[in-house]
Amino acid sequence: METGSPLAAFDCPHCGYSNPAASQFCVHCGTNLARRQPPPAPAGESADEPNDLAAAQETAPPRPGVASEGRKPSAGSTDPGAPRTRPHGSSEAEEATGETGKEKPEPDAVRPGPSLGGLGGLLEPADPLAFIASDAGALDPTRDPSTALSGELTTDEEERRQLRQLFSEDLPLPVGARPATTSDTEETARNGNGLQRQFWLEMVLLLGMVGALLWGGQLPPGGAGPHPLPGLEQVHRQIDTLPPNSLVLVNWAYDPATAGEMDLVAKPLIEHLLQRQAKLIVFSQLPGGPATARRVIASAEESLQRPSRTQITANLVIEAGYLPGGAASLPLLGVAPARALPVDPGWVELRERFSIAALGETGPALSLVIAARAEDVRRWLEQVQPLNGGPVVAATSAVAGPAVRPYLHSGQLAGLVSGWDGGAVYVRRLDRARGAAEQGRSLRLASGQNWGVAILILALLLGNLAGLNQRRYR
Amino acid sequence: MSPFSSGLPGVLQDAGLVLGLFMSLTIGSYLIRDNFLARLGQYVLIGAGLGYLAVLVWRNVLWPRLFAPLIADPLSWQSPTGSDLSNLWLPILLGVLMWGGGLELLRLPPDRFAGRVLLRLLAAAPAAILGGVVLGVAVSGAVQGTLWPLLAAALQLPQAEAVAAAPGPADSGRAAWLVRLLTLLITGGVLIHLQNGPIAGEKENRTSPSRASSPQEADAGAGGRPNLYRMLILTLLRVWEGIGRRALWLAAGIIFARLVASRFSLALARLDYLLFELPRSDLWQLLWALLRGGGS
Repeated sequence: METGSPLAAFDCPHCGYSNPAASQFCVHCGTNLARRQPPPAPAGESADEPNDLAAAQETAPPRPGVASEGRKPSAGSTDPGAPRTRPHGSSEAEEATGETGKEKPEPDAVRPGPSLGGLGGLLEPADPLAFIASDAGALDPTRDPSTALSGELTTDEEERRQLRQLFSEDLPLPVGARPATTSDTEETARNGNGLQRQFWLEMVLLLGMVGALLWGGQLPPGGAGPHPLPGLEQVHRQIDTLPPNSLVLVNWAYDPATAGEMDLVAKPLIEHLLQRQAKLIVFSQLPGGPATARRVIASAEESLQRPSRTQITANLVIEAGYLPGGAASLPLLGVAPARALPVDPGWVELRERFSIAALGETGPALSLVIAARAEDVRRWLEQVQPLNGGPVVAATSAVAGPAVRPYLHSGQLAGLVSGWDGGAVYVRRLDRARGAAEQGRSLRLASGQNWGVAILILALLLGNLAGLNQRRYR
Repeated sequence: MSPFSSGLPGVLQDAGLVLGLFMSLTIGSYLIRDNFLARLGQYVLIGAGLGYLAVLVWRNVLWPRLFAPLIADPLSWQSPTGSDLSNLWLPILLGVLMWGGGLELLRLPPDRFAGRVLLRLLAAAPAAILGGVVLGVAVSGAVQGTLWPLLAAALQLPQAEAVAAAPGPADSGRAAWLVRLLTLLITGGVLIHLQNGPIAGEKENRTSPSRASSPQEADAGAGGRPNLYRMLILTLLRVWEGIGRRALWLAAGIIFARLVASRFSLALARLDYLLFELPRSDLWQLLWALLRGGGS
């Protein structure tokens, strides 16, 4: 039976990602969505659906574009413990016919037992404490073994789901995939009226930042600047001790989407490498990566203030291009970089071919991973670094810093610079004078950060005070 | 250098700045509400990105690494050797099989397309190879690059392949024990919390009310183990889980702070571009002069 449009979707109860209705597993985290959905209606209740079809939907994968009746989530639930699995694309008329009513989970329905439910540490939670707290434990037939596997999320589970979502989110969601909000009055009452003032908060933040940019650069630079986080000194030392013409393999793992932040981190490091006359072999696994690298390297050359910048590029930078294949193509880069690098021989000069061949024989003197996501640094440390054993330094976005930092402590990373603050501190360590325009821009951005954070802290304080006040009157 | 390195004339670069302004404004209008311009901006961005990707893959991957060696002059240095031929023909074969499986997406009616099932079966072979390789690489990489090195670092086992970190202060050895203890405490606590939530007594009482008439009886259990032992275990687990929960929220706060810094950086860079970089471009000056001239 055709239910809803093919674009119907529901949120993963584990990570909150909005998945197509026909998905058996979450696209983002791999959770088994079929198990989380309410079981199909019992035989005989649905006149237009044969029993064997309902049974087949339990075992067979769904056909593309056809949403499974048994997996269709219940809509309009007001139960706070109910799963947030709303079909975004389902029609109101369909709901009005009461079809959703017969999809409510039956308490006596057979539920699947605990089993391996996914990859990446997303196994369905078992209950080992049951074996400690009770002799019968999970083997007791009177105990419901699928409390955690039923379609209902308790408040604790919801809290843990939000935590997992926060920890798993590295990049902003595209506009179309923003988690669905509801206009349900009950939910608004539960969450407070603050959600309705989100627009004004965004506007105040925007105006605050504009004001800081317009007037912040005119203020005299005072107070403490950004502080260096651990790992920055090591990066500076690693690059500073490179002999001239050292081969440095650069994995450019960001594109224009995150260039606003990442340029501030990447440019000082590239500039330092060019100062040291290191030979950069730059590649990217993102389609927009090579073009972004070209722009930033050109900008770093301009900062060098040397007469023949084109000559510097021709001698020191080899553009290795776009390397497709994701993590699967990285091990070859660790074993035989000269074969793995996507360099078109027709574009590369003869002496550069010798440099790439030398990379295969001796390995890079240093690997630099410039990444907006922690995932890219982790991939490098898992797939390449154990194979070639060379030192690796990373330049990451601010949000990726905490996730990458354990690798610095374990010694796998030889240095780490993260965030705009890391970039600002690194620029001050470079051995060159900064122009007035560069200093003004740095000051503007620092002012904007300070104003934005101040507004956010103020909003948090006021929101909490308002919440406490509201609770007292209740 | 690649053909993409040739650069653009100055006027086109300025046109890119103005186009960037238009795209930023259209997509930024989503802040007010979801509207036609916001959708248009997204669709143009996605379409342009896919077109760029297609050109990039052809010019950077498919042509130089697959097709050019195949059709090259046998005497040319680009012509493949015997082993390269298998390396080149096999990807082509697998790719064609994958494309055949994708024919179903063309929405042909099933009754007029009898080989649909066969094509899907054939396409399963490259998909299985791809999935198997990725999974194998990911699992082995996780063990050799994350699980073992981080575990070894936490236990301070010697690692042959680890890069020597900067030497710490003299008393770092003594502090390392404290760090190891904290790591164990927090990691265990977080795992217990994520696995079981606010645990023990509540869940136990909730799930087995019919088997015990009092909390003491429930604590005793059917096997009659001593109450003290069970209560001690549960209390320890509760405390441990509480430590893990608080550590988790502390870490979430740190990540949120860095997330805010990251997003503020992106917003500030875009605003700075609109307010300061764009007005300096020649094309913008020209447009502005034309507007002022037209208005006067």
